[in-house]
Amino acid sequence: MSLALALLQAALLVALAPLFSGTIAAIKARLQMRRGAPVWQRYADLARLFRKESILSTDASWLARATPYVVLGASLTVATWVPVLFASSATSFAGDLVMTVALLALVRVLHALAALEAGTTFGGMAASRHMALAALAEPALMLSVFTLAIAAGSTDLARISRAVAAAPHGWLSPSHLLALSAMWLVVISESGRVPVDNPATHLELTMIHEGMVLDYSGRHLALLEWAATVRQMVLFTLVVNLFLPWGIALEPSGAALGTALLAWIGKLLACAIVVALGESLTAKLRLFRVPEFLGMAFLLSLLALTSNSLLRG
Amino acid sequence: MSFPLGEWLPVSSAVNLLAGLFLLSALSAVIQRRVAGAILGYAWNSRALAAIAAVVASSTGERHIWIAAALVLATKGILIPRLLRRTAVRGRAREEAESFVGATTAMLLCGVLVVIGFTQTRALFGASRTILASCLPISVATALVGLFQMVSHRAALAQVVGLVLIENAIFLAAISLTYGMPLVVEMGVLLDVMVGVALLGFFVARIEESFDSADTSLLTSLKG
Repeated sequence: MSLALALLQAALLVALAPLFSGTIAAIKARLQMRRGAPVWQRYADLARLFRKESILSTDASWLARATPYVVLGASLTVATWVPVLFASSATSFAGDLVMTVALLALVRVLHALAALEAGTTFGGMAASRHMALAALAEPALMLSVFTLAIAAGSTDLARISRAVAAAPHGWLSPSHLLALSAMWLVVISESGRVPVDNPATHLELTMIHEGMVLDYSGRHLALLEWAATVRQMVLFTLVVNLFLPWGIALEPSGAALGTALLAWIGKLLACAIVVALGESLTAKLRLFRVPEFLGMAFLLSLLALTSNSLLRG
Repeated sequence: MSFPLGEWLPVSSAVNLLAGLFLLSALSAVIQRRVAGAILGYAWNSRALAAIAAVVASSTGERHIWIAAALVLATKGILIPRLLRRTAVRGRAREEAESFVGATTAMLLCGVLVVIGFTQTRALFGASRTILASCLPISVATALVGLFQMVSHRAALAQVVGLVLIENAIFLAAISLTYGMPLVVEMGVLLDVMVGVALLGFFVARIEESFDSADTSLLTSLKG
């Protein structure tokens, strides 16, 4: 029963991930007074890419061929233990916060190696940028979730979510607010959004994610893009269900799960609106300013952690 | 008079959240590159302060704290930011607020200052058990951060923002220690701050006029 629930949650995450991306793009288009593509455009894109032939450079080794599958596999694995509807996971034996961060790091390393494979300049540039930013974002991500993990006494994501949901007003504290702000900055950076990366541009000297997947086409590109949307979905779900776990089911009953589903979708929709607003109102940062942006995230997470231990009267 | 949200939001939690907002806005004011951003951070800092005062007023039922909260919102939340912004628009201060230290270093130093503020308050006053337990450490940390803003920036207007941040922090400390000073004192302080900011804005304009720049590090050349 609970294993089926865990798989259902993962399936939800994976199936709805392109929809989330599409929703952000649609809201953004509306804000810019354009009609924009429909919200399910990402599914159509993926379907089209899957039908097309995949071409790889003759210089590329087996690594370039394996990367899309491993990247998607790692993203799907993370999706199995993320608390989506129910704050307890049957697969939490397999991974916790540290494992999540490690798998995200694995994805990054593979992305960077694969970008270097074909030997193009864009790939190498994007890979070096990606690794530099990741080195700054990762500690901030760890520290901000550790703030909650300390209070919950566990690094298991579902248990953290349960602990925050069970403490009725625990979320109303300076450390929680600081950790949430830090987490938000990291998630914006990790999912390649403005002001760190621009998901809408292509062939621009500042691109990061697009630069790394430039040499992929067809099926391989579809897998990588799908994995990227799943990772984005996982990160935003972590934000809403670890930091603001209102409505998450504490009991595996039908009514509670229904409420949790509605709450989850509502919160993600709110996130999509905030992200679209942010992307419309801010300009992309110059690359050399991005370390300051992530430094801010690191500072906030560090302060969250210290105020968590120092301010607890 | 009871707190209308009290049913689902205990007073201490609301104060904690607002105190977090207070610290966050002060940090964002210090880290901004542009003076306009720092002023916006200060405006939010003041609004958080007014909200804390309002929560304290509703939980203690003291009328004079209500009046103080309203005055804080009107002067520090709206009037002073507007005065500062007007000075910024008039002068050349719209350009980047140059700092003596880089943004990353400034952030790390601010982090260190906040931790020092937290630990030292605890060491000096012990852990308090009132609903305002988190306010005193946060006000000390914010005062240190405001002081850092004053010493690290070259632009005169950015230094003024640092000064008013310190003033906000002192107001928060006063509320958290004594549940508000007598109304006459608070009104006097607010009037002083208003006049101070107006005068400082005037001075900044004069400095810009005489030196073609609001960079206070150039003022030492007067010594001859």
